[in-house]
Amino acid sequence: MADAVNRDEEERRLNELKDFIEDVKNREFPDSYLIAVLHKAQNLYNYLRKDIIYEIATSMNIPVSTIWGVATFYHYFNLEPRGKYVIFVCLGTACYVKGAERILNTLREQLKIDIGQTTDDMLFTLLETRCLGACGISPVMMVNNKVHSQLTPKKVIEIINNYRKA
Amino acid sequence: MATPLEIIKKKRAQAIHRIIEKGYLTTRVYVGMATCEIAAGSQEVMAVFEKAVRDGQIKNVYLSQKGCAGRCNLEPMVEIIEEGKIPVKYQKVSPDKARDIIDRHLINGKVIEEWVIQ
Amino acid sequence: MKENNEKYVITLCYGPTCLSRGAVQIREALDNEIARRGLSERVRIALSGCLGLSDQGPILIVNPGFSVFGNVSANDIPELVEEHILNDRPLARLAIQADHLFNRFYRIFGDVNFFGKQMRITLRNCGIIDPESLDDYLSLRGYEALAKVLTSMSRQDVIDEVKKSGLRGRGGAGFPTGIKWDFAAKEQNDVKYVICNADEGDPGAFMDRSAIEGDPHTILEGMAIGGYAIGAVKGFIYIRAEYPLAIDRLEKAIADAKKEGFLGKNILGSDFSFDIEIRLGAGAFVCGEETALMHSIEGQRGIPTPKPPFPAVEGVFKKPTIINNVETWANIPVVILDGGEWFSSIGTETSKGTKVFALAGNVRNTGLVEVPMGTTLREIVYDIGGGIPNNKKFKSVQTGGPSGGCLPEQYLDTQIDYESLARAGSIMGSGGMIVVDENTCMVDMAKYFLEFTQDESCGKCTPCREGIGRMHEILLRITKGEGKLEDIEKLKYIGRLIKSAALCGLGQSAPNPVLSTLQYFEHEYIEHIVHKRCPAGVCSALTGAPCQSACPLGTEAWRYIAHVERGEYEKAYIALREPNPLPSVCARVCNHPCERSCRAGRGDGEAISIRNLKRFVTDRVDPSVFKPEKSILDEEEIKKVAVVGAGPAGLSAAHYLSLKGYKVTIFDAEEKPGGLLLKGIPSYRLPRDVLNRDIEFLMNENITFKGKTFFGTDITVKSLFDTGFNAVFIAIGSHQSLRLKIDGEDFEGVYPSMYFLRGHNLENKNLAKGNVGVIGGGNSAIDAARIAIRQEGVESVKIFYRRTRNEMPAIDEEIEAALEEGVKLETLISPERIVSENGRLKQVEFIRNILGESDKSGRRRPLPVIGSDHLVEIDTLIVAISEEPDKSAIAQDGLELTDWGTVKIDADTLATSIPGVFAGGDVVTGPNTVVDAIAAGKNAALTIERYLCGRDLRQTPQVNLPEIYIPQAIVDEEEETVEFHRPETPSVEVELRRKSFMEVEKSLSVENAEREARRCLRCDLEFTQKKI
Repeated sequence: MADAVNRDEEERRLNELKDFIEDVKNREFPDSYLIAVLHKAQNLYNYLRKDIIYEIATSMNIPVSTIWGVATFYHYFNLEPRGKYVIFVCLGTACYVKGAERILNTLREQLKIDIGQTTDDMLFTLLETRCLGACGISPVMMVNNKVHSQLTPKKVIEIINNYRKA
Repeated sequence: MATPLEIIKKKRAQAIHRIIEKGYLTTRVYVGMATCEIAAGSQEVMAVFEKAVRDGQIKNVYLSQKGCAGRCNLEPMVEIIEEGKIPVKYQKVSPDKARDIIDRHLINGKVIEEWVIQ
Repeated sequence: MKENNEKYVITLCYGPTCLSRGAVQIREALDNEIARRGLSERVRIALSGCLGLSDQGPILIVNPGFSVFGNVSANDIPELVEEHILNDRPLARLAIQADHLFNRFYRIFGDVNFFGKQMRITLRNCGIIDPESLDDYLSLRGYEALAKVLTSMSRQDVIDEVKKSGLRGRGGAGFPTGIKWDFAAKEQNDVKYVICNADEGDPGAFMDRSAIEGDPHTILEGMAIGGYAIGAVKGFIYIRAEYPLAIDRLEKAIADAKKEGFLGKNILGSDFSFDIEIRLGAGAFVCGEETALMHSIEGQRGIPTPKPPFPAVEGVFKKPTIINNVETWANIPVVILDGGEWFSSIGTETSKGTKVFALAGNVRNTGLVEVPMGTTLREIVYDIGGGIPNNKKFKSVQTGGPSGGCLPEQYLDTQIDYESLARAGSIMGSGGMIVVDENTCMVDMAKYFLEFTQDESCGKCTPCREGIGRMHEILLRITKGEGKLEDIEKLKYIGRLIKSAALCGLGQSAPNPVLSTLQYFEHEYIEHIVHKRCPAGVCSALTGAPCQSACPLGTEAWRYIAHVERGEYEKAYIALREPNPLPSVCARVCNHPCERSCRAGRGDGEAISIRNLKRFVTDRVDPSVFKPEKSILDEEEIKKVAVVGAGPAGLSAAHYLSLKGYKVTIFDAEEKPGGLLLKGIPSYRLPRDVLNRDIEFLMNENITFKGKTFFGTDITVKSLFDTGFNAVFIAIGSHQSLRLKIDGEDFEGVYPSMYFLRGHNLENKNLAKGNVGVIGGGNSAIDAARIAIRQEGVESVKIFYRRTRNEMPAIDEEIEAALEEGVKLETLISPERIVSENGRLKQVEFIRNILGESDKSGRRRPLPVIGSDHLVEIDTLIVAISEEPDKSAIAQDGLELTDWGTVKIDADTLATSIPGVFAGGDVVTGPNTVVDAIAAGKNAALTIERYLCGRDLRQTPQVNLPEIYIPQAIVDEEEETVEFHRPETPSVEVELRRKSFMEVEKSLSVENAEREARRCLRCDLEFTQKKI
């Protein structure tokens, strides 16, 4: 039963991606939409799966090496599976000055992982980001799309525990 | 054929008309809704006001969101503008405070001085 | 007449009509009148754009109270200031009615403290309209500029208007926008493009995000106008993926605009068509650089390419392209509607219009600030930003993100414009402005920026890819205490190399943070490299626990605090007594640099009340608990050391020398030991029995005290050596009050502060009578004032200080206590001459000051305001401006002095110009703190020991990290949930203490002491826990 669901899900996602690519191919300079396509793929699959990259290469007629070059150049794209909750710790100047490093260290201690890694239970991925644009309420971190602000090490521990319980 | 300038003036008049119809000239309540405001919890605050309007608790109120006013460490902010009065800007509004504001300010007409931006 | 102490903001409309009717003259009249009346701390002037009441201009608004005045002329100003500001009676004859359109202005400017100096042009609609409502935008003249362009302006007209405005690119480079458009317009090509750079990668910058989230249509309108001007029909907005809300709002705005005919084919019925497409970035800072950005739009890696060709000639998809920043686009509709000429009337000669800054960091009001070019950094940081919170000291303001520089206090008066910021060593950049306080390490900050640029470097050119990495390595070593002196020159060399050889702006500007910190904060680098110290207490490897590192004595505050938490008071006493022979004294009078550095007190936090915890312990534990280790020397090793001065420096030196087995004689001019502790600091601060107990316990059989002995007459350096002493430590302090150098200073009733203090403390003389004036702002001024107010026959006491309260060097708690006791404080005022009657002081003539620009030390110079002199009736005047060492005492053969009359020493060895003679404390530094003096004495003991043993006087500095492991006390889980705040220092109520000399401060209760100790973050555990 689970298998069938997964297969359906896979098909749905692949179709959605393919539709997106088809739409792109009808526009001017279709190759220029590569980054938009990669964004779409990452949204659908949580990260850029190797087989999906091959799929994009075939559909858009762009060499895999080119796509790989683009995917590895931009920080936003993940080539490894990410956890359920992706934590972006802001290490922008304003946050840094307000002690973002201690927040980062607290997270490292709590989750027992370093930046770029995912916890074994696939719950959390820890990433850094430079400036989420919420400098007035620094230090901040973004978990998926939710911004948590005015952090202290204590608050961080509380927030992580809340996500664990959820 | 109307010039673009003439067209825009007409469109503006229509837009103002629509806004006034929605209640713009009575009491206006604005809740800040930029990224930092949302991070500070302004969506929950907006929900409180929306519910109050839906339930009929407050009437003749033009409820709207607004962008960043620049006061990042005082968010969420709620601004209340009443006809003929100086606009009142509340700082660090929580859902509980929002309920108080509805009660004390909007319904009973008393500005809560301690929560206003100094 | 009631005294009005309200603060006001006067907003003056600087719109085109008001300007043409004399707004500038009104501004000048206001400036003059306010300075003349000494009101500069109470009144601020703000300028605004057109308020919409031009037919009644010039317009002036006074807030609070929202009083609006029209048809104002410069001649009205003196009356307006007198009536409204001084007498709180708004001028009726000029008042006009403001209709509800004015709400728009007041909605922004009503928050006067923050918006008082701002001028909102770029952000004119932000915070006012619903960004998702096209109707809102239309109601405030939205798309009228585009309509005007399509109705009555040719392409060249538009470009000329933009040129006339003087608008320069707001992305950071500041290229004249009109000229850029001109180039693109002149290109012969059917296909051209318009790009909006919304990548905003600078960490700390969020102007563009807010502008887009608050007013997305203005960008679209600006871009359409740009497209029309150059002949493009397609525009791209390149926006970073990390801004999901901004992207949403833009998408909605584009859809709405298309529906209403503001975008798409035949806009507003004209034959101009324009479409806008959003392209997402993907987390690459370098894509903020225009060529990299365009390659990213083309779907490639964002790697910069050399220019020429410039985008205006060959841009995205190889077509002529104009690419501008979000802020630049937002200004275009205003330039079209209000005119380029008006726009160019705002700002400086070279930089027109306004600029948005994202003010963040250690400043009270963080947020978005938009000011006219030419506003000073000081105005932004202090007037708008509200200054540094938590009583911390300003250290630096960083502009321009990782491409910019860090400017120190001396540059706060720099006017903001492209050229002046570049001259100062920074750049305008996109508008990030970070304020940092004393708890920030500039070396660490430079390292941080390099980590960023290194990460974001595309890797194409060697200078950037390799060079930044090398610079980072050096900085990393320095922050770990492994720096070498040649590193400084190396950093400068590599930095200059990268700047000249890198391919794109990222590389060319990456060294800026390092070069600017080297230029302005080189001493901090030297501290790290030579003295193995991080003054800000940030670099972990050099700091350990900040409280310990900040204390001149290296006291392990964390250690005794940990013991207090565990109820181990005796162990606590031993921990705090080991490094400090005068602990009960410090527990009362220390200026606690430990608390300034305390991690719990950084940012908006509350520092641990360390001094009070120390007092808690010293009050409870008998000093005999501490048994110092004493060395016994062989006969021939025992030497005699003369310590001249029995103040904290001398007592400390004598104590530590005696422990090493040397025979020490302390000489002092007074009858009893204590120095300034005895004759300067009053007993309500430092009770005599407390002082004497500490002194008693630091003395031992190796120390002899000889009072009533004057240095320079009874004993000299020569006489001491002649009588068998092997080394001399001069620590006679700075006990001569400086003179005011004004007429009448020698009349009766005018007392130098040291004379007054000594008279009270040692001889019980009540010299103050009637109305007392104290000149000065340091601790001796406060001491004098608080003593005077307690004396019989005194009616009032007022302190006169020439700068503002913020600049007073006295300990804050002392100033607060004085004000509580009824002492009055008047600032920005200086004495000019003393008027006498029958040879006695009767009046003092004062003149008011305003603060001018900073001098080299960073302090603002007080400038007298002509015409503000006035007489004040004063019966006793105490002059407490500063002190210096007794000239006659230190005028000894061969003893070299500094230019300002103190003894010159080698900073590392404390040696004077005479071999075997050392000096420390206030006699070397001028008036300084007690703990610094004790530290000087301690260091003197070490260096004298080396001297007496014939060893090298210089030692390599060591880093002292926490070593002793003290586990935290086990606490009840429940108790943890209640947040405990720093307790106030318990004090005797004002009514009780006002007229007596009883001790004012009291000890913390046991409960408060243990809870405060628990609040300690235990920064030591990071170092000591690993060892188990």
